[in-house]
Amino acid sequence: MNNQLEILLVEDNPNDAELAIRALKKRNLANNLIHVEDGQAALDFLFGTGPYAGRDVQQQPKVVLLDLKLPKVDGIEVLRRVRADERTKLLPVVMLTSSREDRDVIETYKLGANSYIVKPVDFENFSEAVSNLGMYWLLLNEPPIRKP
Amino acid sequence: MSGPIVYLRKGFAHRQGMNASPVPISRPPGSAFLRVAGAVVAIVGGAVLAGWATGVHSLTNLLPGTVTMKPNTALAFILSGGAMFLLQMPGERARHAARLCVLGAGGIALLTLVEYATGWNPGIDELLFRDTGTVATSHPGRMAPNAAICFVLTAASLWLMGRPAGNARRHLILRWMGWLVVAIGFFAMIGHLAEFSAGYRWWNLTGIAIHTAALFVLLGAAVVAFAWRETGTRWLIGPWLTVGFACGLALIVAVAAYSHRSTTELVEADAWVKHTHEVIGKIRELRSDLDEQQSGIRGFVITGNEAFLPLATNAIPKARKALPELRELTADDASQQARLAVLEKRIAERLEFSQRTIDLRRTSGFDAAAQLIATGRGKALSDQIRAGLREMEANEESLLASRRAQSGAITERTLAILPAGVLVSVLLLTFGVLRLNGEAAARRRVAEVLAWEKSALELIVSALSLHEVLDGVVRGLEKQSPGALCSVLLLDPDGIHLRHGAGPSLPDAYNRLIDGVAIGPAVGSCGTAAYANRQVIVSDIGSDPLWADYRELALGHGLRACWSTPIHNGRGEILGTFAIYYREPRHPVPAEMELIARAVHVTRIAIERKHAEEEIRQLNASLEGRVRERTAQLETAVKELDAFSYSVSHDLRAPLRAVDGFSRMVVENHAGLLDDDGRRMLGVIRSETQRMGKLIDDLLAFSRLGRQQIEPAQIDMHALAQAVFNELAAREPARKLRLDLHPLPPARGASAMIRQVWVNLIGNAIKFTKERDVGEIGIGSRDGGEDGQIYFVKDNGAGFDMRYADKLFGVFQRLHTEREFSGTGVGLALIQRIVQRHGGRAWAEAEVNRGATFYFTLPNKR
Repeated sequence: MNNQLEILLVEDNPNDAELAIRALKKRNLANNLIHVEDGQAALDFLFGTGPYAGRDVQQQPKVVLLDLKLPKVDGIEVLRRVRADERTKLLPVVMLTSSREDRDVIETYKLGANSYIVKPVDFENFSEAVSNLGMYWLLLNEPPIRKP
Repeated sequence: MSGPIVYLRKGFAHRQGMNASPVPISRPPGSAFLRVAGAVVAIVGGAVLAGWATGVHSLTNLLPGTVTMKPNTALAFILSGGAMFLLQMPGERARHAARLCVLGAGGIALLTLVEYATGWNPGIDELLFRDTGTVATSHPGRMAPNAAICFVLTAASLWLMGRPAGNARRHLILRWMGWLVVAIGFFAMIGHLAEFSAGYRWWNLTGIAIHTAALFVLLGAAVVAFAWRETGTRWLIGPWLTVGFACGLALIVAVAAYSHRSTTELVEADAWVKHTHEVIGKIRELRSDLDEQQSGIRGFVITGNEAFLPLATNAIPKARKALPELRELTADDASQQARLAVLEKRIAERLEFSQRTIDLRRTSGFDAAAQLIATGRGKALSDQIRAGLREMEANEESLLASRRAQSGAITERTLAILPAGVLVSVLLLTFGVLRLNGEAAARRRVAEVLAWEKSALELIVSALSLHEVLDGVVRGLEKQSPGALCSVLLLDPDGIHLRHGAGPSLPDAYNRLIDGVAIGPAVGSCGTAAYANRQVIVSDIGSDPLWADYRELALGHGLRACWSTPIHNGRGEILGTFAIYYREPRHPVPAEMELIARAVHVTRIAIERKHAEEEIRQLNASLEGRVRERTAQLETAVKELDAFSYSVSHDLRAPLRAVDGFSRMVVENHAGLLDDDGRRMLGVIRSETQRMGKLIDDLLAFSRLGRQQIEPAQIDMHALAQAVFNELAAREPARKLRLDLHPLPPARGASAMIRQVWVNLIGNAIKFTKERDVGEIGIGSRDGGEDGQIYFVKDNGAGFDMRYADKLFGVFQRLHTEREFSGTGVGLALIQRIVQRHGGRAWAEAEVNRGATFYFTLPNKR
């Protein structure tokens, strides 16, 4: 595997984050994983602002695992801004939800979430979500993000 | 003011009668007038029959020398009157007896008419008594034809009266027949009174007696009264006016009868005068004939010339002819007849003497004749004849004088009485018309006041404001009393100041100036009325001390009289004043006082109603405010609940996730560090945390249901149940399950929710049959009548004790241990809530170890 950034994990709960990272690590998928703890940080990272100013925004993750409930800017808002921005419009986003029953799940689909994973994230859950996306972008190493 | 006059006109009772047609006999209750009339008719008939039996002729013909009431007529009166009386009595037997009477009377009358028409005589006329009377009687003992017609009409009416009410035209037929009988009877009565025989005697056949005529008037009136009662027509003219009209009518009839009599008498008297003249002429003619004859004879005797003879002989037959004529003319006078008899004899002797003289002259010559004449016999006879004729003439002359005097007296009397009678009739009729006009005017006034009240009440219940309503009410009132300027002032809640209420016709400046005036013991009319709590009638503002302070103001605006009345509410508190102003000094008349009382009443209603409306409006406003407040509170509560749910679903689950996730990590990554028991315990930890997660999910679903909107759609229940079973059975590949699915009718509801019901019920059935070799699940439905459609899921599983059936559908209520059957205890509560929100209900029947059946209903909605 190269150093290409593969996963951006946006999760405020350290336990949930650890469980997710561990699950992904087990499959060697967490090598190029960035973990941020709130929505604002995620946006800063994706758009190269704030602490991430100067980051090469051409280098975008292959998938974003985005928790719904986040401090500062919540998951839905992050998703809305990601989809609203020309640079990240096609970025694959998988939502992390607490429950299948969650009413926000529908909202996220409306906003263009590619899939969702019920926490805690185990690999089965994750690969199911990935297959739901219909493309093995992560493994094919070819981000569908249009180069500006 | 007394209540309004209510008119009951025709049509009302009649329609009622039509509606009541299914009731077999529905006659109006007996009427006193009909009973009395029937009894009187029957009793008079009986008295007349008694008169025939005893020979008391004053009973059979009330007016001496006139036609008698025939026995059959009297009998028919007994029967008709009896029937009229019986019809007003209760009970079937009375009705049957009445019918028999009617048949009897009608039968006699019809038979009589047949007798007259065909000339056939079956002998019924003198069946009871021999008729000795001959006055105006064509057939001895036979009922008069007009009486027979009246009896036939009466019998037909009585027959109709005995029938059940309900025929639409019955009252009309009765009315006409009744009036016809009255008219025939009345006509006959006038005939008797005015000696006008065609009135009571038709076609020169037998006539009817005066009491017969009177009884027909009574019978006919009773029939009309019955018809009137049936149609609700009432006599509203009042007793005095009615009596006045009756007197006027009687007077006109009397005047007509009198003038008929006078004219007849006058014609007769004139005939007598003419007759006397005729007699006198005849006497004179006779005398001149005789004189002529004498002079002829004299000429012949003296001259012997035959040419003188015809003069003598010609006069003889003339005299002979005149004598019988004279006798005939004076047939009515015995004294003249006696004189005539003597005279005839003398004339005959004289003629015979003359003949002898002529003969002697011819045969023996002048001297012989002269000798005969010289005897003086001829002269003596002539003198006697002349004396007799003079006597007769003198007698006739005196008769003529007396007859002329009589004729003159009749003329004089008639000329005096006729105008007097006509004058009195005209006066009576004029008085009656004026009275009727007075009543009509009063009625019109009442109608106008009622119309005003109605429009006022309509205004009051309208959405208009109090000022607009009072304005309209006052304007309507002013239209009723020309010249009146009405005003309403409202007393402030402080009880001191009067505020403008309405005064559309008063000068605006005046209205403005008196607006807000403080009440007091001498504050014009209104201020004083409100202060003293009494009506204040000021006839002349110009002189009344109450107006001392306001006189200039009022006079300046041309107001001269003001009558003010305080308006009270039901508790006696003063609401304001109602006042009428006039531009000239004026004192109210009683009708105006009544109008004021009504106006005050209506104004009071208006004020109270509008006050009440205002109160309601304020209450509503405060209520709405409170509702808004509560709604806001509820909305906040709902938001808090939402936030709480959100928090539960996320924050409460986060620690659970960690427990579960890390336990799994331990099992996966550090299994070697643990022994079997340790691994089992970690397994327990994981399964319990997962169960708690499920519990939270179920609870959230349950609470969400309460808020979720139901958007009903058509649901294919059969397909849905089948799909749910297939899905759930697929999760239990190890189980042997048998589904017995009967056709299910479609339902309307929120399909996701109804699906959840099936999932829970079928899931339960699968779960609770796990200890059976074959889990048998039956799904079906049946019609639940008012409940709509009943669906059920039946299993052969563990069942439950019916003692706990009431606990079954409660949240977290479980009838089995977790060890026996897993579950959160939310499933059935969820079903109950979904079904209830669809307007249905859910229940279960079961027996321990014999399986359970769960039912739910969904209403049949369009």
